[in-house]
Amino acid sequence: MAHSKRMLGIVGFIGAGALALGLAGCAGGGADAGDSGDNGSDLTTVGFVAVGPEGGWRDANEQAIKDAFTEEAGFDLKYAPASSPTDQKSQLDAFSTFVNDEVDVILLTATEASGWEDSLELAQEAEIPVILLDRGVDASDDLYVTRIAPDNVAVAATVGDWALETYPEGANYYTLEGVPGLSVVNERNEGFEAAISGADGWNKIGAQTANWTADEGKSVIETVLKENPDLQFIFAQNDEMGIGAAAAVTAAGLVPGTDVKIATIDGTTPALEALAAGELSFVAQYNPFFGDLAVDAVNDALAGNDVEKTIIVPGETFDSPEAAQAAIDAGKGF
Amino acid sequence: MSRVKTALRTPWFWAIVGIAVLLLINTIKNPAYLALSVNPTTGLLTGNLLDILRVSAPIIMIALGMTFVIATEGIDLSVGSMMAVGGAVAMQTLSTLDDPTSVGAMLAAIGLALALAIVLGAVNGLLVAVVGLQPFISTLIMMLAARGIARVITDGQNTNATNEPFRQLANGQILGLPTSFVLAIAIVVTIALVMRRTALGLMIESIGINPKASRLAGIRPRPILFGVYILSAALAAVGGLFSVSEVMTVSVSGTGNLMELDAILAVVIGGTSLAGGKFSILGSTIGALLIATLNKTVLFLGIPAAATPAFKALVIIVLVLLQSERVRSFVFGRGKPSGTPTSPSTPAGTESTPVTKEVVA
Repeated sequence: MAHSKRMLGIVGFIGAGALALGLAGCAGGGADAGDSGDNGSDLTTVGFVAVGPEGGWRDANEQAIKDAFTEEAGFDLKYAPASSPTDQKSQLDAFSTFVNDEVDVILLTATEASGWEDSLELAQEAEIPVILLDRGVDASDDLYVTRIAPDNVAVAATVGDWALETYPEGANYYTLEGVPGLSVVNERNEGFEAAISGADGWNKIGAQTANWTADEGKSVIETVLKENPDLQFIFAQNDEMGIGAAAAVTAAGLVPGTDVKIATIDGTTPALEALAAGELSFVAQYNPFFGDLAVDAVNDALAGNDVEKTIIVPGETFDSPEAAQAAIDAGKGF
Repeated sequence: MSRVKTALRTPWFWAIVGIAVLLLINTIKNPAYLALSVNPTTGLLTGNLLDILRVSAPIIMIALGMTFVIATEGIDLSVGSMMAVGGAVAMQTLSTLDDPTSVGAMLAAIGLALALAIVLGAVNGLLVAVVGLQPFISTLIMMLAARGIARVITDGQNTNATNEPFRQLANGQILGLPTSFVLAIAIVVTIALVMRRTALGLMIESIGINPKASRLAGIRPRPILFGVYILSAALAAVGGLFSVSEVMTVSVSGTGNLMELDAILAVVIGGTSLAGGKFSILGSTIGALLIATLNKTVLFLGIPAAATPAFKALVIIVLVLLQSERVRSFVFGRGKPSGTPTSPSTPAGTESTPVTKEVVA
């Protein structure tokens, strides 16, 4: 009995080993096939050091990059996601593998800002241009070609501009903030406040974090509304909190969009749907779809043209149910 | 006289004092704080007190489950993630069903959410009772795994759905009280009856005191441990259902995030010993109400987001210190056998008020 159990264990072990080898073989085979295809034609090899599954925005963003760097467009994209959204080591490994493989260009969305100098210097020695997507790194800007990203300050400013137009006489407003301490929160506050500063009649009732979630957004706004029934405008720093705020406004017997207008940032599909249903009044998209900008930057870098050090991705804004419906139909949600 | 003394020694007495003080502070800020009124548009009773009861429902659920786990000298760190699983299953079911606005769809969503939670709770039970892992480790693994499972269920999206009967769980009222609160109290009463009218509660406590001795006395710990972890997971899923029905959206990373800490705090404030061996269902419920009151007070006073955790921590530290025998005897004078019954409670009330007020200012 004991003997056969042990045999079973050995068989299992060998089986697992064979399976692992088989998988490794598959992976290796896939890479080889990619390489030979590359050598056969004139495709530009692009290594993409990515973050991987993190959430709706990241998925949309990385899909947009994959959709832009197709073989038809003349690229062979090698996608290397981190093993988890916080695992920088696997990103560093993928980066050095790309340098050793002598890819033509490296795209990098860093999980962490620090610790990239050595890797970037290696790429520079190998004369491989590096383009940062979305997230910046703490390194000298000589080490990379450009950073392509939407700008939180600019996106929040579009909310402020819309608010100024909608309330020419000013309004009592409340801000739902994200998780305290994040740079996103500070930048979105900065952009909005800068846009409405100097205008008369703007009365900030308060600001509180709702930790990016809908149920906390609802909880905050229902309490605020009890104390301040004259609230007119809510600036929610992400879509979820705005949707929660709309639920609180409805529960208080008020009509979102008429009694209280709500503006949000991000532009996810649920927010566009809520805008189409009239629950939200304004959605500013933090635009993840910048694949074509990245393609242009790669082509410019390879051709030796000058490229701006920062390329700000312009974001669309949606201010009516019709615009939201059109955006949903056009697949602009994520 | 002795009754007052007993009350003073009951840990949840101080939780009630805490709730009263917080409500008092809010009423000082706005005298109309406690007022209830009928909203002419929705026809429902509204008021800050009702909001507190409503948001306390999920906390009551997870604190109730946590009470029994802690009584067995364990801990369940997975309740927050389990809320996300319950909410994710419900939202995903409602958003994919053909006839999503019916009561049947709601029952299907609730049933599936409970079923998955029971399976995951059984895994916790298996790891603790059969494999013999530390509860801290087993449920820590489940805390990470369950959030991953929630992500897989909704495909990483924050899924929303429409189902009026389900939405009424949090937004409806029964006799003027929030439906979720009424349901939560009904569940608490049912479970309290089962625990105290049968020997089950006693068995849980005996395992917490001394598992070996209770086994020698004929109590088999395994099925009971399985039971408490399954119960905790199922109650957490119910809490998750209450939580997502508020806004009909599940946020896979946000729903129930860090709520396990609220549950542990509610249980400890309620007087259940972390060393196991005794539990107080009433205490945990009052502890959960205190945490809900505290959360709402922070919002009502408009405390800056950055200072919120510090404010909450201060209130809880004051409470826990008041519960400590040593601190109490130090503050109120040691060994005063014939102290007038009312005097200890009066200074306590007046004393804790300035402490919290200071923080507010």
